[in-house]
Amino acid sequence: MRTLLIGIGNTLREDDAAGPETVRRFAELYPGLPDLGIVIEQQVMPEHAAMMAEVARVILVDCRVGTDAPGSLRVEKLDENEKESTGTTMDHTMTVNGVLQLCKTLYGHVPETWQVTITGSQFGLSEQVSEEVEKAIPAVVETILEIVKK
Amino acid sequence: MGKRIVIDPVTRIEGHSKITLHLDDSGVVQDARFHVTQFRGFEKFCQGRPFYEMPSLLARTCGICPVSHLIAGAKACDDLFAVQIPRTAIMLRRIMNLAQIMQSHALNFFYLSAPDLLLGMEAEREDRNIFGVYAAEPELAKNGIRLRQIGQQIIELLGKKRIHPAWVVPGGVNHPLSPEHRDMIRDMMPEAIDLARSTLDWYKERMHNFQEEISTFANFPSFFMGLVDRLGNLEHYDGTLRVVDAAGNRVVDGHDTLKYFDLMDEAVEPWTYMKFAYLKSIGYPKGMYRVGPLARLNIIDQCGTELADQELREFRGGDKLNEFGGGTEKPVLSSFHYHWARLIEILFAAERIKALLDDPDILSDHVRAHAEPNSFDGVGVTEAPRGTLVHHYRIDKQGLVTWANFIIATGHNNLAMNRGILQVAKDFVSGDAMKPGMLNRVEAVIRAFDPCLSCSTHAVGQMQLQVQLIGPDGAVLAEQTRE
Repeated sequence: MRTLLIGIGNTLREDDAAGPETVRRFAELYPGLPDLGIVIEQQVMPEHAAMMAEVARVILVDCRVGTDAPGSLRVEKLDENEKESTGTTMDHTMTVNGVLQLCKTLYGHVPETWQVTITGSQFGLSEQVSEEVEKAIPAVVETILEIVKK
Repeated sequence: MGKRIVIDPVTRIEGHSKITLHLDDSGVVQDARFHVTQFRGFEKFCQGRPFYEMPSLLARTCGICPVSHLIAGAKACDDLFAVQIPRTAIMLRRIMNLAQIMQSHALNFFYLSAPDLLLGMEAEREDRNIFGVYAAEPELAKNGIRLRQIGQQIIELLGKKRIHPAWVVPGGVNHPLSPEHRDMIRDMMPEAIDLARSTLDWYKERMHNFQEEISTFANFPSFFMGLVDRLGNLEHYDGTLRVVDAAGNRVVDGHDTLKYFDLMDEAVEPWTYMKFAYLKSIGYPKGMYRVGPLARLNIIDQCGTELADQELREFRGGDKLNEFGGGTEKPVLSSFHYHWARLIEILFAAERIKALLDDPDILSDHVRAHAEPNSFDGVGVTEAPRGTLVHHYRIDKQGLVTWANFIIATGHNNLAMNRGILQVAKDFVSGDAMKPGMLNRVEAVIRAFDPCLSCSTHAVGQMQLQVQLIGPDGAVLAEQTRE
């Protein structure tokens, strides 16, 4: 496996499901892509470091809370400085940067890491994402495909 | 004038809480309280729901041990059916339960408690975290990550999801185990056994550095309770309840889990949302008992697997224990040794999973009994990672839940946790000379119990809410209480 695609979010909290829902649709539209592993999780955890350290590229798809318009897409390639930050430290939850730091310190390999985020606006108790996020998902799926094909 | 020290929030536990320490004029700790400040209400809002929804609904109580709630809920529904479920379904449920114990214990030991054990109670707060562990002992960190991964992978291979799998259902499980997945799980067990054994060796070498903590971390006589099988082996899925006292005498043995309410009851206090379980025959609060890994290893005759039994002998009766104040073949009283007990249970879980997978019936496709309710009252009792878990449902003729009761491991341990922080606080905290390490020890004793507050704060309509306005001389100036 060369690329690992990870959808992150709680599928019971409306737009927080943007990551899992996007990754699920990607898997439906493009089944059987070679060298691609797909994982859906509620949150990033230390165990992800062991998985990520075994691949060349990781694409994390997540929801973002921000001031830009709901459904906005942001694609970032995480750089070395971000990889050095420590993230959350007081419990067993982690940030993406924290997991990348673990990749480096424990396994000696940091994959090329892309973070794809969609701005959410509704986080109530529902399995439906908002209209804005729903409209954005097809474009996000194509963006992921472009990164996978790089 | 009395003083009060507040630790808020308590970190590296599952949930939100605070601790208050009440000092007298000379700065000596007079009282200590573990306040659970979150509130949920599962017992109430599941009323009116169909009984068959309960396992999955209650699994949502917790993201750490959803499997325990799934299994206890499904067992309660089996009891409503009043049928025997297929033997293979029982074995498969056991494997998932043990996998969860493995991953949950690894989470507590490696992620939450290892910073204290590895870096010391006096380490700087900014270093005393999971990254500090990784920096100091990367191999230990890798072991922890791998053990968690193995436990989660087993749950995923069985139930298709790592968190909140819906595979355990009333009557059994919803699909059989494939040969491919059986082999994948079986292939991981030698590695899990090696990791558990090397971590046990690592821990036992370092335990000597914590003499003072061992002697003061909830180290007092209490009762211990848990499930045992008919041979007195370590049991996490079925069996009967056994209670031993601090001297190891069996106070209760062979108690039918369906009659748990004859054995235990729960009290409430106005300053916390968590109830206090106690032994009914002894009364409140003297009927304090402990559950979970320490209690389970204290009540059994043997684990029932080769390697775990070797470790148990050392844990309970070996020469090494004596220097820590434990007695030979007597219950281990210090709650610091929950850590040690957790590691032995990880080893046991791996051995037991391997043995279950070798059973010729494990691939049988007869994994579910189908029935309608034949009873209006159902009880399911199992051992969750943190201790005995009770689900009890009553339903009407339409199969809708009319009443529910859940007794969660952390509630069983509540009296002991409160007494534990008082013991630690009296020994380590002085109002005139307070150091960060002291406060961390107070938190660490709670962490040793591995409380899961999201599971254990589920009552509604029973808790008083008490608000007190206390003047500088300690007098209560005003008080409002909501019943």
